[in-house]
Amino acid sequence: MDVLRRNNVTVSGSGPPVVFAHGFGCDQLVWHRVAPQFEDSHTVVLFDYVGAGGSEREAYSSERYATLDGYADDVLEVCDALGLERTAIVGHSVSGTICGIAAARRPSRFDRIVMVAPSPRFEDDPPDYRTGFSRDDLEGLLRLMDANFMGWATALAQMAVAPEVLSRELRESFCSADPLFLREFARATFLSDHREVLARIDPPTLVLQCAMDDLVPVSVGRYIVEELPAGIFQLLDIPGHMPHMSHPHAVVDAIRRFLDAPHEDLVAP
Amino acid sequence: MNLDALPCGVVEFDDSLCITYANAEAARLLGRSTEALLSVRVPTLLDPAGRIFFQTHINPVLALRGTMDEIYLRLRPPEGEEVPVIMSATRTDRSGQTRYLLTFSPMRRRQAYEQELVDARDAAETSARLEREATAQVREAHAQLALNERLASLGTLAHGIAHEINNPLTYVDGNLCLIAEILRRDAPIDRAEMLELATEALEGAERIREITKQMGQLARADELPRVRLDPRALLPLVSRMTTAQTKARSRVELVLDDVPYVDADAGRLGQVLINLVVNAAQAVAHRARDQNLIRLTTRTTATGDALIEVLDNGPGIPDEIASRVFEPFFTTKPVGEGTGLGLSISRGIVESLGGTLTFDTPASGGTRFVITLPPSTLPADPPLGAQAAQADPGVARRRILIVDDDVAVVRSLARLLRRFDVTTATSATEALDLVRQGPPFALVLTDLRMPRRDGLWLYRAIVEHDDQMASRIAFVTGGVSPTLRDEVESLEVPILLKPLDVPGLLTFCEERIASTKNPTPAQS
Repeated sequence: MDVLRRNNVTVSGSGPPVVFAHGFGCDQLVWHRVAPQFEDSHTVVLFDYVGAGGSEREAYSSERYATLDGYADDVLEVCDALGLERTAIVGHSVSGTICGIAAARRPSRFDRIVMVAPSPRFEDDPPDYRTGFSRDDLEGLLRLMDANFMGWATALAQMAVAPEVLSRELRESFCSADPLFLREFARATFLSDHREVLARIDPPTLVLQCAMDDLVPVSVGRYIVEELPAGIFQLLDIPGHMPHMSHPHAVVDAIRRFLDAPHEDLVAP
Repeated sequence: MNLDALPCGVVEFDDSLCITYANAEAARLLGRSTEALLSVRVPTLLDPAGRIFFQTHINPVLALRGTMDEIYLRLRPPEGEEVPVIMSATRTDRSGQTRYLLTFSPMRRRQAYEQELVDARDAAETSARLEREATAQVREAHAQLALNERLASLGTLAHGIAHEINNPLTYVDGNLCLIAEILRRDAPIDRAEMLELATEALEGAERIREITKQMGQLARADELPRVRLDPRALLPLVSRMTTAQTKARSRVELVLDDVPYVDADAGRLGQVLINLVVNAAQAVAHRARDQNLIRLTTRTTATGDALIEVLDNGPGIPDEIASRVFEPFFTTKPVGEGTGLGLSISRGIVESLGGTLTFDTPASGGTRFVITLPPSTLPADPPLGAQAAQADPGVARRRILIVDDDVAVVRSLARLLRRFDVTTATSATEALDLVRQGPPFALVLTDLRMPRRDGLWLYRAIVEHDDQMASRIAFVTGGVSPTLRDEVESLEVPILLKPLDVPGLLTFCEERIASTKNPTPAQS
């Protein structure tokens, strides 16, 4: 198995490595205004989770990717395939959690983690953990995706149709992702709870929280930092959940400052 | 042009998803004034699911690709019901600033139709899933019942075997007791009397051996490979095996006309025939024995197929159930007496052999079940030991190694083969040491199934030590388990089946050892 081809891994630049992991809903292209900024100083690694973008769709397995653990396997396997002994990694949204799971499993593999607009649990858990989304709201997302793809996801899964039969146009209309993959990724992302993993993420971790994120309230960002052994909180005065697309410079600056900081500044004595 | 006159909502927003323009229809659909919409972020106008979908999927695709068509979303006005809409969006660059234009129209009625479609699909999926589950359950139950049926038929066989063995066992046992008693007596021994007792006991043992050998073929629970089989040899066995069921109920007649050999697993085909005979015996059970007849016939059909017939002169199968007798679970027997799988499974077995199982009602009355099978295409078996061992003058002519973890078997074989120079071992490793020590053995007889290292291991170890030995090894076994069968068969090593036929064993060993007596040209 060629992991580099499977996960559509692209490597550019030179210097210490930094891996960018995309979140739910799109692929590595979401980093197109951020990642190139690091090529002068870093070896930049981009990849697609299996099922997304230019990954090998036939490697997708509903069993393996039923939980975020399967995605964490992708992260670790990409690092292994590139021989990255220690690397910085940047994960957006659910990928913040996925990188956290990977780091909890292999603590020595990552020296710094950046979580952009992360959320370990999207569902409300009153009274102390508030997200604004009920279980029904989140299951509504699956229904909404079904309505948009007219249920092709499940129909394709049942007919075991090879992804190649999807016309080019149809594929592109899914942000270059299988409807089946999107649906199952949505389930693993939005209906899971990974708060317990936070306390086991040892590397210094920067949490970039948007001030007006419609998906992740500021209180969730603060919760994460409190749970992390070495968490640093930074509030970006940016609206929305996709700061790396809407305000790439602010995100680049924040990441760069964090990556450049001396190690002793990031860990409690 | 005045966008307020358009019959669809139009909204413009920036990279931060903040609204920079909204037309009158947009304001109407969203339940606010156009001014109130300015600077509002688009996701906040949607239901929670739409907020997530818009931000994570639609927004990046729109930014990267520039257009996004036919998106289904639900608007959430401050008051009143949600409005399902169909949206299209496009990216524009206005004086260096990126803007997005969004148009949307309500689709309440369409949405209802589409929901019906999705619901119908969900219902179809659910019923397809239930059907798959039910099919899997039926298949599993069917397999379980087929096994039960096989076990029941083995029960019949066990009954038959016990019955057949008890007679000879009685006098083997009796004669051996007598011999022991005579030997214990402090009196002169009548050699003629002893010989007679011993000969009778040997005859009894020979009969038992013959029975277990024959019945063993029928009683294997595992599926054996098909072999070339004479139906005329099978029917007497079946008849003997069902004596317990038939003898109080009916005469049994065998009419064995010329019939071609067939390719079948004797155990499976025997199971079918036993089922048919037991059914026949039950069909006539209500009458006195002397009025009843069960006839087993073999003959050749007009097309050259083998035909096996089981006929009874019972009341026959009533027309109203005739079409159902091959259905699984169909039975006329009282609850508890039959699962009803007999005929359905029997037909399955016969069809798997390429044949047919049918029945009819002859003019003379009763029921006739007819099996037809295509004639054998397998070559006739080569005689045991046909693969003559390579000549090797270095072999000590009559040296035989016997390997079996059962000490009693080793002892008994050593006694039987005492005319040869016999060495014994009770494990494969011990045997290998002996082979390595030399001098070479003319023949190695090894058990297949032994704890830790088995016969196959020993075979490989010996061949590795000396590949000339490959033709001088034979397996002695009570049966080859299905897991080993392919491997054993691929080696072309002779297999001697327990219980051993003593004259046959001696002949085999003599032939094998004789074949090593001729020196090869190279060495002469």
